[in-house]
Amino acid sequence: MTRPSLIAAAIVITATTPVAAQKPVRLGIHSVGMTYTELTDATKSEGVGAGATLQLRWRRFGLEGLVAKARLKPVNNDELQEYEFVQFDVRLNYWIASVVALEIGGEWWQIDPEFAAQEVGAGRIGIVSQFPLAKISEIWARGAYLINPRFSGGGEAGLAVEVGLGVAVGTSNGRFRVMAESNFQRIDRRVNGVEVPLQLTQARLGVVVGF
Amino acid sequence: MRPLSLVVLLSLIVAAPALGQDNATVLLAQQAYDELDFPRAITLGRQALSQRLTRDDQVFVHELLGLTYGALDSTRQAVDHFRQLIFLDPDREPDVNVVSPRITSLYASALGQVLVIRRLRVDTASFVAGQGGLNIQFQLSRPARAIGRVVGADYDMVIDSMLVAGTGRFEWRAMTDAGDPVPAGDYQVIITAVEAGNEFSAPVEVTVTHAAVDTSDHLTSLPGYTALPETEIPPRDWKPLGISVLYAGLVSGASIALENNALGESEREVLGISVLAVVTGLVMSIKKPDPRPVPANIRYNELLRENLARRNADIAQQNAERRRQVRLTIVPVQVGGS
Repeated sequence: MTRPSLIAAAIVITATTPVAAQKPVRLGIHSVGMTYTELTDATKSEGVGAGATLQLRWRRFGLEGLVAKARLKPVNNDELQEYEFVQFDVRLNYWIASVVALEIGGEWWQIDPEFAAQEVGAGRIGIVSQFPLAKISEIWARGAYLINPRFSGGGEAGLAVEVGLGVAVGTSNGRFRVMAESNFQRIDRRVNGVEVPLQLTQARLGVVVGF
Repeated sequence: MRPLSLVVLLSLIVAAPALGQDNATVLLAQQAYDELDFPRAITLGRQALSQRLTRDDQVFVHELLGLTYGALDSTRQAVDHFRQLIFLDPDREPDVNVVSPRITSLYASALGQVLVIRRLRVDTASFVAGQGGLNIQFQLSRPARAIGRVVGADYDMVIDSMLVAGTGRFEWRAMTDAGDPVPAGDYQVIITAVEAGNEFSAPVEVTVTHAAVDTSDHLTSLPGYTALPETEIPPRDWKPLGISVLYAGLVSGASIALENNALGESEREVLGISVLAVVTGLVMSIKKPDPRPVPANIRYNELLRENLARRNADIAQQNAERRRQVRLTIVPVQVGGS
């Protein structure tokens, strides 16, 4: 057997080896509270909404999709209008160890009405670590670099990162979880050499059912 | 009368055959013997033998005459009657604690001159057909060829043949030529001793019954082995709290560090979830720890279950085999000689 085929075989074996017992399918719904700031503190908007998640797990691979919708209201400037913030998020995980996974994915913000805030699309590459606190509980943290963000208002980004923290408590069989998760994103947008930074923080509280 | 003869006579009186006959001549002979009137006892005894006597009476008279002739030092006649006695009842022999050594010697001399089968014994046997047999034990008075044979309804089989000096033993497996167990019913086990022109046969009746073979119950546990607990409650530890503080601290710290000062503070959501995570870690540390598996015990129990399953599989196989088998019980009915 040649070296490349040996390496390929090793990759296949490693990739298809299960690492942790988790329900292969999880569906969740959550409420979301978020704060979005662009350029200055004067544009800060806050609001709440709802969302849903779908998580699939097969051996070392995980796929997570999220959609959330919130209505944000500017808090420091009455002249700015309210707007709807819709977030689409997808993450593909590969668990390199029982508690650590590499993560790639992408996200897209959709704003209505248009230009009330920036619509953003970006890829991501990062790492996620999930640790069981007990049989009924787990905690996870994630950090990612947002790759090549695109904005509806144009421009480009220098630093673009996100960090997140989550905790869940539920039944010992993993079928039911109450979860809380936060997400912080900073995107240093620059338009024609002018700094127009964006910052988004989210807190999600919801339930997840595993199958 | 010499003192020795007196002793012999006294021992003969003690050793006189038990009175239990109905024939008048035999009774008179017995009476004459008891009165030490040996000539009359001999006359009456001979007279009785010329009559039609039962087998027991014949045995009695020959024994009486043997003892009487022995008392009178008539060796040849005594041995003759003892020989007749042995032919009629091979297992009968003088009690060495009662009769004189002279009589015992005469009896032994007679025994050495005849070929008989003695102490033919079969014990009750119960066995699975094909896995056991009926023990047949006997003694030959002289070295001879012994032939064992069993005869029943539609059954006649020579079970063994061997030269025997002293004690011999045959085993009847109670199987037909086709390998099937013999049908239930009455059978006659016949031992024949053959030596030159002499032949003596002794039969014993046996009854064969069939029964189902007992099956074994399945085991629910292996005797002497007990399953071990597969989990144990670990001692309380603060690892969940430590982990949650670490994760929350890292994320909160990173959020604060990454926060853009120009955009004001907006880490409220992150800090709220971080506090929730730490509280969750604290609760998980305080609560009773989850049972954790004990690999050694799990492996031990697996081996135990495997062994139990193997044993039960063996038992099931044995039971299936036993349901096709037959238990034979062979009970002797009576022992006699001819």
